[in-house]
Amino acid sequence: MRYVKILMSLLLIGTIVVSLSACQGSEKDKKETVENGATEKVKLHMLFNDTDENVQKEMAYVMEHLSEVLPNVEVVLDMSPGDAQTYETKVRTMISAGGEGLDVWWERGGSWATPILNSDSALALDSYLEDNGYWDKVIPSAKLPAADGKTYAIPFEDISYEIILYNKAIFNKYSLEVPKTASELKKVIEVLSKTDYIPISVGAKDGWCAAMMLEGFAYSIDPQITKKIVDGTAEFSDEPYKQAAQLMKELMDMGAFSGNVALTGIDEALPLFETGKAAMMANGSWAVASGADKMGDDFGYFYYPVIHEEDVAEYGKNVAGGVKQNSGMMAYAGTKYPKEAAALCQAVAELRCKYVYEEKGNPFTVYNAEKMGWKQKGEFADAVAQLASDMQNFGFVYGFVQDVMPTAAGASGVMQNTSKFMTNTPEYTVDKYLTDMDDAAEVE
Amino acid sequence: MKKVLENKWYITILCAPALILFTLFVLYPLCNIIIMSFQKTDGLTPATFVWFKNYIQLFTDSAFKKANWASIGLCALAVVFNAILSIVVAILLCSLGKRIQKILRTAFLIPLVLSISVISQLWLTVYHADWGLLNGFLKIVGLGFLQNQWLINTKTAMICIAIVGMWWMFGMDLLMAYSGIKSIPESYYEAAQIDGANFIHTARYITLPLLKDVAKVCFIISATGGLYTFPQVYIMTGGGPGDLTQTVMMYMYRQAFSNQRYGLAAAVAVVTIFETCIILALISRMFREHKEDKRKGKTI
Repeated sequence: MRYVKILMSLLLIGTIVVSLSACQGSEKDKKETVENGATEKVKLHMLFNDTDENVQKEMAYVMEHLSEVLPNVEVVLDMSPGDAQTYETKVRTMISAGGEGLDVWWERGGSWATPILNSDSALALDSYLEDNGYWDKVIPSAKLPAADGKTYAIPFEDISYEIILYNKAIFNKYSLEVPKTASELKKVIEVLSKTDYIPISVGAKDGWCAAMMLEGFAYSIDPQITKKIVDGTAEFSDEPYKQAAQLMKELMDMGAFSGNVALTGIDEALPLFETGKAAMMANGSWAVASGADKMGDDFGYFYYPVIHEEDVAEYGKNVAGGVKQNSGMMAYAGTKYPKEAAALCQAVAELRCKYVYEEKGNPFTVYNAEKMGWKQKGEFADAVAQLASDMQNFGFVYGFVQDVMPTAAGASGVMQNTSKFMTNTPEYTVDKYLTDMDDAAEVE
Repeated sequence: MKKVLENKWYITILCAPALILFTLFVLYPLCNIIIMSFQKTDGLTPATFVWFKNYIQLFTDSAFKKANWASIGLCALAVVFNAILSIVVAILLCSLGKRIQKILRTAFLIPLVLSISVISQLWLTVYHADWGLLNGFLKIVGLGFLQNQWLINTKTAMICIAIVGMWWMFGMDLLMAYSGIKSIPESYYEAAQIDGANFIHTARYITLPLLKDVAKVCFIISATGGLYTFPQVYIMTGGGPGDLTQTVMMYMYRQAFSNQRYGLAAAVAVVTIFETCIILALISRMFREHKEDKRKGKTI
């Protein structure tokens, strides 16, 4: 009987031990190279943010042509849905878990990249890029190293700027002109607010859309204001943003936005514009190519009107945007195959940009299309060609306000405060909003 | 069997798997969270001990205080409109015919079987300021002056969020209360009927006393559910605009994943656990007092 008891106890302990050890990955799973005949392929895991159908099509093209560029690499792609916050949380979680299943990913950049770089989790790509002749293929502004002077991300997103999209058909219907000053904009809104159209569609729930609007207006007074705020030599409560916020308040009081604007995300705001329910939309130039494609001749854009009439000569000269720092394809510093991971980053960036240039008629990539020998199918849409031409003449360009805040908490604060400001409640005044924005800029 | 249960060695062995799992997945993370609450960390860079700085930051942050009070308010509303109301409805339900009982029971349970994501989206279409069902209905019935930006108005936003959670979980409390009432022997009611007791008398002197344990569970589930309101807030408003509909869980989520302040988020978790313990202690005390009275009654 005693021996039976001992045996039962041992069996029970053994069951527990086996169950716990089953939580470990099997040796087979850890094998990252795949035998393929004579050559051994390197298996790399790539994480990408599935934001919309455009991204899905781009990555489908990339995956289809990747083997032509990197025949010795097998890529396991994980398309992760969700907004930037959800996606970046996943990236950080995977890195803090030891980088298991993560070799290369799309880094959203800005303050999202800060903890990744601070923890030395990203692979410095400089030597690999030099060896592959990368810098000969791209425009000079693509070289946007991190604070330590090294390059950790290969940009592939569109070079984007803050603009206002508009529906030419609606404007023509009411004989409206493209506004270049705030007073002209108010006249346009005065007319449109009496119609069934939403004058301006904004994804204010997401915060960054509305924050970009504020910045766009503030640029007309001092284009360097955001940079000064980041450098600590100015505040949001200074004149540029103060006047921009006052203008926004006036626009809200005039009925320039929908009643639910503070809870309207970009996923609702964009269709409102593209389906002709809204006359204008505050967005970035990344929407120009797809907008021109969907709306045809009805699509147009203009730059943020200047607040003061006397500054009208500066209209469209200084625009927030450009290449986003530390944004693009990043490789994990702990990857077992750094050379292949760096090559994969480059290949994905190049293929994606080639796709949008040739297939989608979008020339706003960091690559020099002429040097790359890319040929677009058909002509560029008028709006696209116009923007490509305008870009050559931009004066001061600096990143979007939500991207350049020094900390994630700061970026988050800017977006949340602006979202709250868009509720247009009597309690949340312009002064209170600017005070909160200053607090957000100073937060650690 | 008696020999097994008397032997402490056997008890330990048999409880070991559950204890190990409990230690690994509850106690260890709890200890980790408490330690993390005294650190400054973004999850990737090495953590540094800042001791009580996170707690000081927390209790001086007006956004946290606002979110905390909002969550306590949701907790109170959940107790009243879920726990208490569900018991009342269950008592009334049991007095109806069997067929109607089945129909109504099913109707009340339908929200419970739906995913909170679906429910949140559903209520978003109800509350939408431009084309929502609620504003549309008010316009049709001639109450257009009551139309509102339900989720943006400071006076209505949190109430609207609370309604979603209460509507979702009402069925759970109702089911428990209903099952509790059905488990009361019929003979008690028959005896009461013979003695001339009416509906109010039977509910007050038979149903409610015998339902006390179930009521306690309903209170606990409703209170903790209200305090930990998160999914509907995340989906419907994201805690916004700004911090308008922010609950303590949404605050914690933002600190961890938007602001990358895991130490501060851990401090929020510790404070919330502490609040939960207080609430549970209050509920236990509330129900224990009556048991003490009962005991005194028996000894007299």
